[in-house]
Amino acid sequence: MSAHHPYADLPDSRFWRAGVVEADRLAWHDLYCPKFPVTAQTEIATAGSCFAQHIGRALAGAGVVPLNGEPAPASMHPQTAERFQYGLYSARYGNIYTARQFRELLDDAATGHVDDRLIWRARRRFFDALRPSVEPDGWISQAEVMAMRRDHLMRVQAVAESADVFVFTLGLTEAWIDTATGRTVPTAPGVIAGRYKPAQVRFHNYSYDEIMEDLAGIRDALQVARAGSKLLLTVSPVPLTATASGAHVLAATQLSKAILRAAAGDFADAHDDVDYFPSYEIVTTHASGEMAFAQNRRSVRPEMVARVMDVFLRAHGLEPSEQGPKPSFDASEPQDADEEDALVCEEALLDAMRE
Amino acid sequence: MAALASATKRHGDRWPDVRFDLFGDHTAMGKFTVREGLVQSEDAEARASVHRLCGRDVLDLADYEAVILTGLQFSVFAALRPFRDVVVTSQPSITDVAALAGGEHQLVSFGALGAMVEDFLSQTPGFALARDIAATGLTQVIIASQPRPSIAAREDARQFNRLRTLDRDGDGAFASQFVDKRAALLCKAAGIRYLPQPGKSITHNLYTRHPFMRGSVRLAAREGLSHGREDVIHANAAFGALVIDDALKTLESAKDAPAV
Repeated sequence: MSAHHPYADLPDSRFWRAGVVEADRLAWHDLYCPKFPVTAQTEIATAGSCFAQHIGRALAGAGVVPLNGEPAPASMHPQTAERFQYGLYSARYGNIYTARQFRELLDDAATGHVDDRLIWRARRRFFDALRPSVEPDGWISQAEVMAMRRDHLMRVQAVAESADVFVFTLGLTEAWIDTATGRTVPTAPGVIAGRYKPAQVRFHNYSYDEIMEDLAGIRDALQVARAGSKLLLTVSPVPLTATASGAHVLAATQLSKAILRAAAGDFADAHDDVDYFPSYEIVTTHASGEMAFAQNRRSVRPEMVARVMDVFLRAHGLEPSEQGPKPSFDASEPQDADEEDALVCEEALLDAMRE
Repeated sequence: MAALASATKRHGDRWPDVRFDLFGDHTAMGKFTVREGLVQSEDAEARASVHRLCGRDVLDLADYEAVILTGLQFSVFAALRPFRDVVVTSQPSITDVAALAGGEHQLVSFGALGAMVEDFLSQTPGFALARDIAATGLTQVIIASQPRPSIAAREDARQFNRLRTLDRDGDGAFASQFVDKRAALLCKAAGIRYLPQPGKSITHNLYTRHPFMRGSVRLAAREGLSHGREDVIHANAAFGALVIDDALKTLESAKDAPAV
C-alpha cells in the first residue's frame, strides 16, 4: 500500500476514529486552535445570545475579567445589579440574538443615534425596544429612555474602542423588524413590553448572505473603533424556544444553527483577525456520549458548559476556575424546575407565556 | 428612641388612654430576634443591657396592639446614600438630560434608584426586626423614620456633605420625597406601616428644625442626661410627641380603639 495520498500525514484530529472515538472527549485536543491569544491582560468584551453569558462568567473565573463599560453603581446591591442586567455583558445591552442587532448597535454607538420611535409601552411604563429586558419595571418617561440610551451608547462605544477581542455569540437567524424604523428588535413586541400589531413589525429569517454582510459590518465597526481589534465568533447551541417561520421548531432550529455555523466558519476563514470557537459542536455532537442538555432538551447542563469553557480556556493556556461557571440551575432542584433561572433569556419567555 | 421615651414622660397626659412600654437600648437591639412571638436575644450581654434600661429583656408581642420601632439605622438620611453615586433624569437639578450621558455621576433609572434605596433600607436591623415582628401577626408594626440631622448641620462643612450637596443643587425635596415613598412601599410590602418624619419638624427638606433637636436627652437609665451642644442627630421630647401623635393617627385609621 502506498502512503502517498492526501490523508497520509494528517494528525489524529483529522480522523473520526482517532480524533473522536479514541480521543479524550473531555479535552477535545486540537478542536480549537486559537488564531490569536487571550490572556489575563487581554481587554475582552462579550455580547450575544443567552449562551454568551456563560463565556463572560468563565473568563472572569479564569482571571480574564471582561470589560465592563457600564458597571453597576458602587452602592447598588449585587442582586439588584443582576436584576437590572448590569455586568451581564460588557455593556447593558441585554441579549443580542442576531448579527443584525449587533451591527446596528455598533452603528448607533458610533453615531450616537437614538430613535424615539423605538420605545414600547407597557403597564404605564416605557421600554427601550432595543433592549426591553434590562429595565425590569420599565422607565418612567420617554425622556428617561432616551437619556439612558444615549448614555448606554457612549458606553458601548467606549467598550468597542477598548476591546482587544470582542466575543460575539450568534444565537438566532429569526428576528422581528420594526416596520417604521427597519430596526431589528431582540424580542417581538408583546413578549416583554409593547403590543403586537402585525402592521408595525414583520418577521424576518436572516439568510446566510445577510449574516455574512452583517458580520462584515460588525468587523468594520470594531476596526474603526479600535484598529487591530479581533472578533471571536461562537454559535449558541441552545435551540429555539419557538419559531415564527412556519416550520416545525426542530427543523427551524437546525436550519438556523446550520446557517449561523456556516456563516461564522466562513467569515472566520476569510479573516485573520476573526476566529471561531466551536462551542456549538462540543455541546451538540452525539459523540460526546454525555447528556448535554437538561430535561427541557434546551438548556445546556452546567457540566457541559464547564466542559466547553475548559476547552476554550485551556487552548489559551488559562486555568478554569475550580468552581467553574455559575451553574444555570441548581442540580438539587426538582426535575421540572426552570433550568434557565440563572440565565437572562427573553426567548424563554415565549415558552412561559404559552403556558 | 430617647425622643419617644422622653415624650411619654413629659407629655404623657396627651395620650391618657395609651400605655407605653419601652424596649431597646443603644447597641444591643441588633442582637435581638423574634422567636415564638417574643423579641428576645441569646446574647447575655445584650439582654442585660436592655434589662438595665427597660427593666425587662424579653418583649411578648401578644401583649401589645402595636409596636413603634425607631432607630436601628432605618432613616431617610441613611437611605440617601445612593444619591452620592448616581443621578436620575427626573432630579430637579438635571436641566439638560442630553448632557447627562457619560457625566460625572452615573445615570441610572428612576426604578434602579428606587431599588437601591429599598435595598439600603431593607438591610437595616430596624427593618429586619420590624419585618419579623409583622410576620408573627400578633401585633401591628410601625417604623418611625429617624429624624433628619439638625438644621445646624447645614452650615457645618465637616459633615453631611451628601445632604448639603442635594440641598445646594435644589434636589432636597425630590430626594426626601423619593426616599419616603420608597420606604413606604418597602414597608407596605412587608406588612409594616411606615411613618415619615413629621412634616412640622422638617426644614429645608433634609433637616430637622432646631426646636425639635434642642435639649435632646440620652437614652439612659438616669433621666435627663442631655446630649452635648454639638449634637445634631438626636431629637427631643417635642419631636417624640409628634411621632407618637402621628403613630396613633396611623393606628386609628386602621383600628377603632388603638392602644400601644
